[in-house]
Amino acid sequence: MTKANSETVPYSVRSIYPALTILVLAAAVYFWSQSYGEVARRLPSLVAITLTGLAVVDLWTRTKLPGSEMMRAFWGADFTRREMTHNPAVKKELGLMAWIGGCFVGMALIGILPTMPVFCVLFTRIRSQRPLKQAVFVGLIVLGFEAFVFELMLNYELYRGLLFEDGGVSNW
Amino acid sequence: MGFDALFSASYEIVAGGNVLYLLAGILLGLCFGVIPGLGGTTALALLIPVTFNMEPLAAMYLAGGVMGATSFGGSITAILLNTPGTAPNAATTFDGYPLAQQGKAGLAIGASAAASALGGLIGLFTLLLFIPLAKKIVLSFGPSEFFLLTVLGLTAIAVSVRGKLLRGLIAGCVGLIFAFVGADAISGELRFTGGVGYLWDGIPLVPTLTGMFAISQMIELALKGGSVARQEAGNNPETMKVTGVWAGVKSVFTHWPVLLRGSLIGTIIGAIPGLGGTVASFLAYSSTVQTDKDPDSYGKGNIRGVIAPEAANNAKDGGSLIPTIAFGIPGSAETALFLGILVLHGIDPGPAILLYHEREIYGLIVALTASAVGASLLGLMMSRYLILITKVDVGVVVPVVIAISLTGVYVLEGRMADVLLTLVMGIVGYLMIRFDYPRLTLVIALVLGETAEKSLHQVQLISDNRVLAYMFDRPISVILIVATLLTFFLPMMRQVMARRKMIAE
Repeated sequence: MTKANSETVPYSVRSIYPALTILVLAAAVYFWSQSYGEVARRLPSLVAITLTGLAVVDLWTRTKLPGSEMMRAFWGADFTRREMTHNPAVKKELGLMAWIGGCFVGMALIGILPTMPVFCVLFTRIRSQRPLKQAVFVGLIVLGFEAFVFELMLNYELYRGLLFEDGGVSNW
Repeated sequence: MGFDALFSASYEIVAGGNVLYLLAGILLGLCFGVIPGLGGTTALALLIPVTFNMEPLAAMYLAGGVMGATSFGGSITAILLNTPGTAPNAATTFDGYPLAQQGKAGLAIGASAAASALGGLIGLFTLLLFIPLAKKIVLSFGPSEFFLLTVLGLTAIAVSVRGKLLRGLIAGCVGLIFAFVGADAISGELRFTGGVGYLWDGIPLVPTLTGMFAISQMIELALKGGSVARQEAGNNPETMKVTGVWAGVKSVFTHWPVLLRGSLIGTIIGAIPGLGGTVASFLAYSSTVQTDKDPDSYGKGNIRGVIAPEAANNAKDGGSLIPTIAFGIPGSAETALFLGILVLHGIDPGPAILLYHEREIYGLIVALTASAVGASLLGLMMSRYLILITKVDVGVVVPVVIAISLTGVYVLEGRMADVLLTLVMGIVGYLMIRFDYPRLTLVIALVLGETAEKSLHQVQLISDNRVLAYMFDRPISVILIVATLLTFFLPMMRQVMARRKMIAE
């Protein structure tokens, strides 16, 4: 890896762990596919073997082993054209995932129509730290859009939530 | 050429009231194009569920409006704010923004509008000419050719995801593994479902696309934070002055060779799966600079530097539909989402699209043609107001897009499991952005996986397990094998040679 590259690319991105994860996935798919019949396992096994080979190369290009520089050049495996140029903290990432997870839990429990505006108000006010008036305005717009477009215009019945609908999770 | 289908699609756009869908698509495309970070893929991902109850042709008009309008929407911010709305508009900033700084934003926007419209028309005209030929090619293909074509498509896409060949191929393999989930197309045996009944029919395409392109993009945007536009550019009244538009439109006709070259580059690049608008617009820009008598004038406000990338960027839409409708290989994220809309309306991706769904295909071509022109006209009229959209900040855009896309995914089949899958795919997509694995190859492999597997099984049955010998007996198969090998090795050899040359120097 070039000096400039190693300085600007976060360690988590250029470390061996992403390649190791892929390697584990490939191995799991290979062994899992062996439990199927001959026809059903043929292509999955082939793809898993190919993926194993590629993951090993990926792993190699992330180390300082002999030939790794050449392999990086040959396979175009450096990080000079990263799509994501910023490097958010893991805590911030997990926090955002929790927001989205919370939105799903709300949808599942009390239904889509009340959850979405509430999610928008809370997200805009607490996470984005915008004024309360603006947050409420965004929530009302979303409520109006979902009720008008989906419930009235397109005549869908949005999910009412586990608390208000029979059948439980098996209806999902 | 399918004149009947073309005429019928053109007639329906006016007589059937579908013009409203087209207009709505254009407006949505312009708005999403203007907002950096959103773009056509997010707009299409949001639209998929809305089209569920529509006639297939009406859905084509809506999608076509979006696809044709986002690129011009992106050029407005590129010129006025030095912030490309979509990635391909980055080349427009080189000369568009210097023109705006000189108080000639209107000239640049006028030229961009005319170049976008004419470039789009040239690309679509090429597509129309190609369709009869593509039909003949498709009819001469057997399972061997279809299997090799999917391999070629995946290789081309992985190779073309610039500087990410290895990780592109890895993402492609993961996409194929996703495609294997569910009942095997030949034996019917259930695979990789983990006992979850929801996965028996495989991983559904629409929640995957929505998660990969809308949710993951929103996660990335939220973590990046800040406002959408560069404030210093938006606050300068000189750069925001939009006058002299007509002179810009006329300049495109004065510099017609630049327009033609840009459009041809766009069409050809668009037809190669995976390359897309960014490569097309930068290639058109650099070739214009290299062939100009005064290359030093570029980057300082040369109108030809606006015409070339904008023409290429819009012409690529017509080109990218060639592999999509002829062989079912989506050339870009937008065409993959477009395939998602087709699937939703009972049209399976693959060569059958061209053979049995002519009406929808011509509908899309008419929609794209109308939107190429309509977006430019509407954009010119509204450019001053469209800029205001960039004042909306990320903190508001993110929850709204998440809320609407999750609701949209639910209404498709009325299954909360789809919403859960969308979230999972959103997180997977974000991790792919984070660790620099291209999402496009995964999605395209997911689309192509079933065709590849089915075709390979058929070849094995026909050839009595002598697959390679059978393939080498068929001339088209041999051509496809050679094309795949060339696609794979040529860029790498070129890269190694360039590196050696650099070290030697």
